[in-house]
Amino acid sequence: MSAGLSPSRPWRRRLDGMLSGISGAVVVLAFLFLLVPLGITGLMAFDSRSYLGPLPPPSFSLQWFERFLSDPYLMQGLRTSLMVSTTAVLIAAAAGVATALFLNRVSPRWSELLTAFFVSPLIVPPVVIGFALLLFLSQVGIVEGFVRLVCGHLILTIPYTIRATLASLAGVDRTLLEAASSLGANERRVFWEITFPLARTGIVAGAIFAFAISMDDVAVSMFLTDATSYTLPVALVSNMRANFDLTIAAASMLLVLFTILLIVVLDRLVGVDRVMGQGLHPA
Amino acid sequence: MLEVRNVTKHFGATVAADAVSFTVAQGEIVSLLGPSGCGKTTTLRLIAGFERPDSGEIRIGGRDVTGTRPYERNVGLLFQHYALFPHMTVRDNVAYGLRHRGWPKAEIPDRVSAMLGLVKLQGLDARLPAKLSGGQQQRVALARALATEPAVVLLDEPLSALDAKLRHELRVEIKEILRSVGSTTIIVTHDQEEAMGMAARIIVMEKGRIRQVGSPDDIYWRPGNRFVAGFVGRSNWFVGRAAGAGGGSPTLSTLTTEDGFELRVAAPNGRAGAIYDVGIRPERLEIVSPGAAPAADETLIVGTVLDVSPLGAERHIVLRLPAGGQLTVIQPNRAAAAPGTGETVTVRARAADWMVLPREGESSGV
Ligand SMILES: Nc1ncnc2c1ncn2[C@@H]1O[C@H](COP(=O)(O)OP(=O)(O)OP(=O)(O)O)[C@@H](O)[C@H]1O
Ligand SMILES: [Mg+2]
Repeated sequence: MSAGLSPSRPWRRRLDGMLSGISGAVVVLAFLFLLVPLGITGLMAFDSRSYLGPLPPPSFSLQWFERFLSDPYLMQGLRTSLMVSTTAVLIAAAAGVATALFLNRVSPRWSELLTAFFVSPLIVPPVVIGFALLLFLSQVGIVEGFVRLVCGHLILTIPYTIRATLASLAGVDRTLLEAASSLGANERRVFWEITFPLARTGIVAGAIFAFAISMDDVAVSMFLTDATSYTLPVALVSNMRANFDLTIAAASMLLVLFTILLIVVLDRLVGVDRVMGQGLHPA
Repeated sequence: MLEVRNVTKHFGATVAADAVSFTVAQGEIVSLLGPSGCGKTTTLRLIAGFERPDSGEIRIGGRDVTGTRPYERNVGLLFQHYALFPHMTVRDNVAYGLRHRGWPKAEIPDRVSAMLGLVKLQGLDARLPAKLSGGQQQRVALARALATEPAVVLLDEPLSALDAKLRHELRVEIKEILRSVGSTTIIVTHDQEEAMGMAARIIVMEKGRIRQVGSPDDIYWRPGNRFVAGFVGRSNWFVGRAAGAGGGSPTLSTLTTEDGFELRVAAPNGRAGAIYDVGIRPERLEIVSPGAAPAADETLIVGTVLDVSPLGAERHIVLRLPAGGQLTVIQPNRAAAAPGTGETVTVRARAADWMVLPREGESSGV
């Protein structure tokens, strides 16, 4: 036995070395794969030429940023985006808390089932959500673009707010709740004075994450816009189709900057990995 | 004050509390002692109202509270990990129970200060719990638990998260505070020293059942069964068969061990031939000069020294007996007279010091 094991040791060590080498290379590749398009977009956003020329640009300027910020069509999109996302996230956060509260009370089996149901939009393709919602809303006579967009973004954001809320509530130490109730606080007061305040950061973090998701959406929003209510990403896409210029690169950079800012705030609050992890693995 | 009557609680197939009955008098400190998983915490949680018993009754101050919610019972709790509200200051933590138990608003600040004074934490009232040491946090928790003058105070291993030295200091202090307040208290622990140090009465549990209730001395010197005897303190055990009645003295009898030793013990009331577990605490054994003649109530045991460990205040000496068993002797660690390894020594045991227990699981005729 032991005689057979020892010659295999150096071989195994070599395999381990190879594996860690390969996984290191994969990490670097993944990193490049994610960053290169972003880097190119960044370069292009500062291109001083007025046409699409070979990279790198000979000189840099802020012209595309100026074009973006002075374009009334895109600015209208940005305004709508901010309003739609804010409205949707506020409603989604409230709905998240209400649902989580309810789920906390029903039996664990039901709670699991309902949670799975509420986060199921995560696994439905956004295009399907957008199209189905468009059909449904026209059926019931809702044609106002802003309302339709808010409805669509609710479906996008609610899974995130519910999961974040459930995870935060579940994360509150049970002995604290018991301590409170032994000190004379009934269930309602325990919830509002202990559970909720302690879960609040996690709930807010989930809402911020949901906001970022909502701000970036194209697929669902595309179906739900009308002539006056359209989100910024939708405006950028249609702008690009009409005449390709680099405003989209500048706008993308600003969106990226905005998202990074949100993520920094979020990280300050709880730590990104927690929210990402719980958002990306439904049920 | 507190009455637990025939309370049983199952978790699936495990019986966490099996027909548990005991009472705690007004102002008394009682300790629940037992190995891990024996149902100590469950018993406390039943009293606090976090668990419902399957059957039985719990009364606090004469009132049946069996079916009531935790906040409807006047019970103060101290948890192992303090369970302070992390988002509230020390002051707000201590005031929490006062606010919810309807103390007049105007009196709350004074009451909070008085409680913080009691646990020697004046001046820390604006701190958050995270900014306190473990010992300080447990003091805050104690102040919070006692502030509302609960009818019963329950402490679940309150010191086990602290280091040894602090644990001892705080134990003495908590005991003093509980006494001065006159709290009716149950303290759960699996540390026998803690149990004996804090409580006037100890309830020993095993597998959900109460095995003995008694004073620390009762539990240690007069254990009611082999489990209690084995759980509390160390002892040397033999198995002995009772010789026929008589033997010269009405108060003494002789038990013969498997190895043929004859042990003189205080007479058990069993019939001849009954089998007993016979044990003796190591500190009750005494090394005597060889060749001494035993008195009628003494047994002399000869053995070879296997190991001597000087453990600070005391010295543990392990002997090998001729028949192969071992015997531990504990003596005060004075400079003189430590036997050397390999030496043959004679040990004296007095009849009154033997714990004589009917063999468990065998009908002993008692
Ligand atoms: N909520 C629960 N669900 C299922 N089983 C439980 C539950 N609480 C306790 N038990 C079981 O009941 C038994 C008694 O547990 P308990 O916590 O009362 O023991 P304990 O004496 O406090 O032990 P320890 O010294 O380890 O704290 C154990 O077997 C435990 O596994
Ligand atoms: Mg326990």
